[in-house]
Amino acid sequence: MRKKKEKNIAGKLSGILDVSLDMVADVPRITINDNREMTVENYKSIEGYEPEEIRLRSKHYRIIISGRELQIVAITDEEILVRGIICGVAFAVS
Amino acid sequence: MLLTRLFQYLRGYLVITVTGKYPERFFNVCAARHILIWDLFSCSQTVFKCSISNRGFRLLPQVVKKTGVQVKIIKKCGLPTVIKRLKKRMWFLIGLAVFFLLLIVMNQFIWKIEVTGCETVSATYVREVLSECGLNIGAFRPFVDEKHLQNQMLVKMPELSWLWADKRGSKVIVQVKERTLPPDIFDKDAFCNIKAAKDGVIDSMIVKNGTPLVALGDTVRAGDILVSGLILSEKGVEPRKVHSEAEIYARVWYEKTKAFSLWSRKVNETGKKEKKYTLHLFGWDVNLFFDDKPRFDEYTEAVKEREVHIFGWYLGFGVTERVYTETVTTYEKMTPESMAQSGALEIEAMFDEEAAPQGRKKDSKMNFTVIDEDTIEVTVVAEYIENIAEKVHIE
Repeated sequence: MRKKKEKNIAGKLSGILDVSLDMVADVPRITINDNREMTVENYKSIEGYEPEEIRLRSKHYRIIISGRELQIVAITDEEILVRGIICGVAFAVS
Repeated sequence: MLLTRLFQYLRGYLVITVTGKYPERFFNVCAARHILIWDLFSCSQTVFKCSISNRGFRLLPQVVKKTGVQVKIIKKCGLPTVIKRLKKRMWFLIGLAVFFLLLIVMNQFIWKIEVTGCETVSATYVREVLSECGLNIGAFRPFVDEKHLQNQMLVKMPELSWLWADKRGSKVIVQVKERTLPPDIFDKDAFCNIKAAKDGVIDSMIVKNGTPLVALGDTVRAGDILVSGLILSEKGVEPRKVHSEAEIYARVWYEKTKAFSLWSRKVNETGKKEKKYTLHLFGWDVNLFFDDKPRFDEYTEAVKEREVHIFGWYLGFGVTERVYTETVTTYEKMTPESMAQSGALEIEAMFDEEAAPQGRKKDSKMNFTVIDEDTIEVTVVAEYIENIAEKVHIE
């Protein structure tokens, strides 16, 4: 409930200031280039990794990347770069 | 990404496998401890393959202990590994260093001089003069000054109008342009007649100055005066000498008879080839064969020169490949008619060279006589219209 409130405030603030949400709130920033490359910034941890599915944990929810021949090209504590054939991205509440 | 990879290569990295029940946990801990991991593959649910920096690998024992996985090195990569491997081969490194040192030293000399653009002046003569000017095989490259060489060469060889030497490593390419000598200009104020350069029948005349002595349709012989530079006056005034100017076009006939054999020579390749190589090493030629001549009786020779360059910089060595192809000569008897045709073309080509440059062919007749069963005699008579005017001084 508290998390939801925080998110709503951040959402309103970004709307008022006209800035991107990831600048005011601690939310993941996801960038997808074509269906081949995907960068997730501000994630928390890897929950599971298989060539068909990568599950990442963020502050508010899980990010499930499904596809084929998925490969984690680089991992840092803030960013993860995934390459392969990305078929879908789903968000599941933790 | 390329820059990152290059940096990783320079720093050195390891390819490892991580085996465990929860390998994801291992990667999360690595990320949290700022241990860089890349190229992560999932081999199976419990085995992962990834790359890790040398520095990161040193921090792994604590992570491994914490996460309960097994880490195995598959491959060591990067520059530090290569250097480590090379350190064991000290003599190889010394040899490599000596080779490069030798290459650098030997590249300070000229080992090849290429002369291009020669038409009437022989390339050998140009090389001789170049040698006098200080450019010869074995010359110290920094001492070869292109500008100075150009000046010296143009002074020593008046036949040349332009020369440039281009240093490309151990090779110097000398480009020359020969001087086109101006034609002998007839003095405009000198008195002259115009005579016939060849025998012929006058076809047309344009007399700009002087007194014409012939008319259209006249037959003239070579040396006959066509236009006189002496203008006579009917009113008793002294004759005036002028510089004659005229274009006299005449019909000139050329006739030539030549014997041709009916047997035409044909050279066919059998497909057998032999290659011989000569190694050029800093001015020395090393033959990589014992016998100079190929094993064939009849052959054609093709020469290919291969030089070793780096970015257009000749390194002083190369290989010449000589390919000898075996040939067989066969003779085929042609019909007198076809031989006469090709013979006539040959003779006509001679006439074209003999005729004046602006002359044009008007007519050509050919006939042949069979001398014996192997030989024919071809006679060609060709008619050309050409300017036969030639100026001569009045003595």
